[in-house]
Amino acid sequence: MFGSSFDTRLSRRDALRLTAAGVTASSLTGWLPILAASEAESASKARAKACIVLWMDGGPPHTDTFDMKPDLPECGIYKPISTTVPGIQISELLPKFAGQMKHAAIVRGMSTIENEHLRARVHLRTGYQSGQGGLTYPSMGSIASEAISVPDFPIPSYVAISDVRDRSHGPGFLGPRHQPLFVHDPLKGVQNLKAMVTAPTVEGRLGLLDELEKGFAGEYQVPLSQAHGSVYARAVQLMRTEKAKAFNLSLEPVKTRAAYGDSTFGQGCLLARRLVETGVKYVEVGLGGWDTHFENNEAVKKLCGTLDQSMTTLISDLQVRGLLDSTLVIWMGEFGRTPMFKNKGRDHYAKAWSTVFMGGGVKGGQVIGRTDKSGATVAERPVSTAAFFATVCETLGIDYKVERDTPGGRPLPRVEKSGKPVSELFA
Amino acid sequence: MRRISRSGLSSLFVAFAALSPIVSAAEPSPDTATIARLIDEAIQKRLDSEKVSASPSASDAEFLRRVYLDVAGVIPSADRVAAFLDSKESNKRNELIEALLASPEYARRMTDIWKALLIPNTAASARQKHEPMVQWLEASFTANKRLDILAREVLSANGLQDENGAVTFFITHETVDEITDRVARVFLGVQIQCAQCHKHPFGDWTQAEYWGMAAFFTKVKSVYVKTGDTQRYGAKEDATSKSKPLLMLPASVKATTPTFLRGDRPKVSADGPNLPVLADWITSPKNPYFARAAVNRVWHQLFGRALVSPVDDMTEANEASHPELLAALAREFSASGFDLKQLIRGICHSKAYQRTSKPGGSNAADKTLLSHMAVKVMTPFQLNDSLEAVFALAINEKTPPPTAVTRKTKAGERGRFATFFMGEDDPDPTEFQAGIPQALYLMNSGHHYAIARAANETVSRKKTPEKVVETMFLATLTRPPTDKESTTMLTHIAKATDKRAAYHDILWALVNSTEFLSNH
Repeated sequence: MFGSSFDTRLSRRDALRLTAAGVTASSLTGWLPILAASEAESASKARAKACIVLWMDGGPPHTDTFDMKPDLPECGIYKPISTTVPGIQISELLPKFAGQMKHAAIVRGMSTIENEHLRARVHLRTGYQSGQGGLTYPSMGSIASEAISVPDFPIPSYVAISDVRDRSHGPGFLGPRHQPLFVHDPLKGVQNLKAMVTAPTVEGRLGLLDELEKGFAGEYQVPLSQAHGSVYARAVQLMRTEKAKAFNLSLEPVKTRAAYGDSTFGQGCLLARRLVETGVKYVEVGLGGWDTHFENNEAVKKLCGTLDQSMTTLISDLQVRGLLDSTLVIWMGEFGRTPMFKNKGRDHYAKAWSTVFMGGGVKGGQVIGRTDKSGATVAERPVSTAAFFATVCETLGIDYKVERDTPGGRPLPRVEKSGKPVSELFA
Repeated sequence: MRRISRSGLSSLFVAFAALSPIVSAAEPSPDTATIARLIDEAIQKRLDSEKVSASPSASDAEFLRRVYLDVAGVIPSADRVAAFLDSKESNKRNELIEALLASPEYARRMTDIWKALLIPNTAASARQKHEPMVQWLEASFTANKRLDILAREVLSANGLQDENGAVTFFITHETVDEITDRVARVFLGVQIQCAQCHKHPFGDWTQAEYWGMAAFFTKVKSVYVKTGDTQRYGAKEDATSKSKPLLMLPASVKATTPTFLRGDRPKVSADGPNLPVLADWITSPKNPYFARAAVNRVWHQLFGRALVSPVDDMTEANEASHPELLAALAREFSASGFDLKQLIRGICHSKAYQRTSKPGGSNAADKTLLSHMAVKVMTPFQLNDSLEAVFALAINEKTPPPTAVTRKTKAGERGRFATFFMGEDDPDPTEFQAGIPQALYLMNSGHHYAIARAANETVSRKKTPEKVVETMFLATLTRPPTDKESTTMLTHIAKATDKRAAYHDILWALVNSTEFLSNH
């Protein structure tokens, strides 16, 4: 009854037809012919099938976490500890994670250009600078949704688990089809997923809706009808699919849930694992509160406690389930923090900071790049935002060089041209 | 005023009176007729030369829904629809336009639009109070303040937020480049942000012009007053104070003296204010951008596509679909004393605005010649207010009247709903922005109860299933059902064992339909 006009996705032919009608011009023009050849080639080189980003909102201090400066007491009060990989030290605030070092590659030479939260979030989620060229850029998750989602998959390919919905998460000019499915509270899962009425009643209602849709679409012939139909069909698909139980954390053993930690972030990590397991391509899990302008030490200690337990459990759980090799996990913020203190706090710092890459074929147990002795500048192997994005794209089998026409008609590469992947990660 | 009996013309006036205390029904004034004539002549000329036929005039139902949504931001109630469709009054469309322009809903709709234009949608902005700006805008649009005066009051706003809501404009921006871009886009209709880093690729703005405009904003300082526990914020231009500027300068700044776009350098004293000088230039009748930008913006609001599109990218390389019309309307707008209501009134009177949005003849592919009206998607505010209008079917004599507390709760819910449904900034009005969470919300949220109450009350008031179904269609789609739809719905009721639930199903389907979400 609700099958025909509520087709579950835009087929490529539909997409072309809609483009011809001027509808999804912003999302599809110029893409399709290129997609076939060059995308297929990139896809065949994919190292990972999915990506989980652990987003430290506010900007975590590198000199309290993964880039310790024990020789300079003014860089922080916390001590480095050894890890299971000889020669690599991290913060004493991450003792559990020290046991997983063999799976992790620390990139200590992140060097970016935005020092303000909003602009930096756009920069580190999209690879471009906010407002550059008057465009709204797609986030990495939307790019993944556009490039590597499985046709007909009943769950959106990009899920953001975060209590903050920032526009930097968005699909930009790729259009609403690639917007993230936001989950504000992992304990609640997807809101409004369950109908307020019985399944046969839902069928009856959708049948009535279908009748109304046919009339309107016939008379007005606008792409809006297809867009509405597509979104509703995907929503209904999500209501109906067995796979949506991935959102239900109560199906996990109590022991597993406890191992991830009872924080929103910990339960978000568990949800991310369940989603990746079920076939979702890109999940971001947010841990906020890193904007430690005041009382840095107390805040960082508390946050690292949460982080250490949840991230460690996530990595070991993925490994036990045989998912670590096919899942790229990234720890990052929008920037780092000043290595020196101002009163008891640290300010924003984009010039030198750290990210951590795990799984997805990454060669763990290594450190790439180096900051100077005070952690203020990158002394060796700087990694730009563009290089970071090229790396993520390449790992996921997404052609980062492909150019597409933007709404303004200008061709734009998926990742800024200067970006080259950090190949040492896979050496 | 909740229940209006349906008895032809008298109830039409009652219905209008419910919307507005002022009903001035008259033939179009000469100026209105001039604007409408300019529009129709220019559009017909292009249609003729391109050999594209125009669609016929919209039905009363289409027109009613459209002008309600465009001018008042909400769909009409079932009673108002019935009264309008029944009326045989020849001047009823013009009377409706007047009633809507005089309604408080007009000021609310314009406030929704202009608040989104003037206040950035950023986390930094969200930390500030927006309500003073909302109140200031509502008062301005209620008084039909001249647009040049409104712009001037925003651009040179000084003082504390709770004394002058317009300063909210400054304190919700963070950086000089952010505010420069916004002023250029909103008041001049041009995008100059590319020129921040290099010469603009399409427009021919230079970096020097960009930073010349940005330099006007460097003397704005924040104002902070603490009295007891009350903290008050504001902004003030003050070149002499040593305090840090309110708007941060980006690292890429190229320091220069204040210079108007296109190079004229005004006299501003080092210790005097800059912004009144900028405001004078922007709002001068001689300014080549201001009136054009405003006309293009209003056209975008009413037709779903601006004469120059994108609406805020009016470069020389980006030609208008009807250049002479844009120039003529800008002249009229300027001559009218930048009277927004008069411009909207004139457009609403035109044949072009009153055409059906159904394609006909050879015009289905036409998007720019205005052969037929575009189908717009309800904005988040229009959707919220229209759902509220449907849910108001449930209101009866037992419903407690709104109090200050319930009004405040409603306003909060309205804001949260709009935030949840908001797509990108300044979206294409014809593009569907909602995603899966929004569709799930419309299908499965607590709306369920509001729908049930509205359906139950309708059933208890109307005598027959036919009448109930008709009322539900009027209240949601602003038209009666077609015979086929009527049959479908009545069959659904006949087959149902739980009749009440069957009515819930029908109202649910109506508010989830594309047609409900659209302004056609």
